[in-house]
Amino acid sequence: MALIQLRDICLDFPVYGFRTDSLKLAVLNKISTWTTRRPWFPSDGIKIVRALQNISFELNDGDRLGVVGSNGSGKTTLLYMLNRSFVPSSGSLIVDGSVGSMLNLNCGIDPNMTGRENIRFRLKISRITRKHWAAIEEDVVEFADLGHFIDMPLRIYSSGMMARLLFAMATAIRRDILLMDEWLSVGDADFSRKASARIDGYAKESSILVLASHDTGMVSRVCNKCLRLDQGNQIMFGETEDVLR
Amino acid sequence: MLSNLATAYHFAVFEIHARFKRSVLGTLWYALSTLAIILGLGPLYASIFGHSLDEYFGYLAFGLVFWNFFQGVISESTAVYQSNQTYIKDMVIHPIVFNVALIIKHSFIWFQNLVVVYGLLLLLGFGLAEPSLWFFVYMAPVIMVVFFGSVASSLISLRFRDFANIINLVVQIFFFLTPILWKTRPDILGLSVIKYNPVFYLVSLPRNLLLGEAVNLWVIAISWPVGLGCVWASFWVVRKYRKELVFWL
Repeated sequence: MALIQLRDICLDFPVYGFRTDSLKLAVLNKISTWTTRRPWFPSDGIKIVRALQNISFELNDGDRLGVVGSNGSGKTTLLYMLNRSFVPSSGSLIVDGSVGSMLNLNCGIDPNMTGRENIRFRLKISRITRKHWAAIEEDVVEFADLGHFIDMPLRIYSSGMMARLLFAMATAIRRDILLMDEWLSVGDADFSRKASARIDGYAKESSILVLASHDTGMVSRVCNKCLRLDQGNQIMFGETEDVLR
Repeated sequence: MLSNLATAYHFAVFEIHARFKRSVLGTLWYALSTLAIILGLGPLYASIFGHSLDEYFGYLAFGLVFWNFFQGVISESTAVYQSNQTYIKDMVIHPIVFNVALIIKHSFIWFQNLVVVYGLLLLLGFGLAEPSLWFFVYMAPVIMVVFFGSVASSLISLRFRDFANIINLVVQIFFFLTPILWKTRPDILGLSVIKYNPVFYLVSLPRNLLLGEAVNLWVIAISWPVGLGCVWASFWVVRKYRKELVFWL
């Protein structure tokens, strides 16, 4: 049983100014304030940006949520918060279940190592029991379908090949909750179809899927619930067809 | 805790493997470069400082091996969170795992250097202490203190972008202020630059034991609580700043 529950979630991002980023200036300001009673290099301060404001929704087993909104609306930030990377500034957040994320195309890869070596490394750091390693590796190799390139360094891969491998790696390890950021647009048309089918299968096995996308067609095809964000505010949450209408 | 340790081990092994993948000699390059420096500098500095090679060579060799460990960990710590930010942010791996991975990696390099240097000194006929488990009892708190240095250095560098330059400068200064190239004498041991220099203790404790100094239980009684305190402080400080840390990335 997986559960995601947000109640009046707000997230404040501190943005550090150039002068607040420097230890030398901070020390000089301490000294100058102590000796001359004023800082020689007045700080440009830490600005607080409210990235998410009063977000409330609940997802249960079998829910597939599409998060839509323009650039900078807070879609990716919301996914990072559900991933437990960011701690909310206020409100209540419950994420019950193991979380798998596909938020960053370049996460956890070394371009000098081969595709297979990267798969094995990912398995080691993902805390998967050793007895499952061989089966998962085989699944990734088969799905990515890179032929002999799987034993070549990643630095010679095209972006499409890289995306295929990373997509296969991310979806091979089953979790209760899957977070995706614009991932179904990877690869060529054939791979895109294959990826959609895999995600459907994954979503059936995983309890909850959260997908952030600009592609409203894909969201309406994949998701049963939808959340619209604008500048960090929750505009609407509900059934997909109602929100996208 | 144990799974984090295993993850750190995998990161350390992966990094060493990735760095030396296309090299036939692999990590032996580290040992060879240390040997080249010792063989090049040893006779020269012994004559400059007026020491006999017998008393100076082992002192310099072990001093450099321990210094390289200390300097390697602290210097790499300044960028370790930035270079692993996708793991910290996307895979939510605890940041301290990367400090532990650094310690494991550099401990491996350090131990390999130590074995090679020890073997060379024995081969050249220098008088050394018998290998003993006491050495590890001396070395463990040193590693714990360096671990704290690594965590502090990583965190401050993340918050203040100019800290990496400052720490690299400080490390260079400490290299010359610490008795590694030069030897201490009883009459200068009271100087503040030696007495209050933490790196002096980090380098000289295990070095003196290898050079034949008797085991001092007072050293163990003081250094172990200090080392354990440093490990506790490392976890405390990362826990305190964990929430902010991800915004600094």
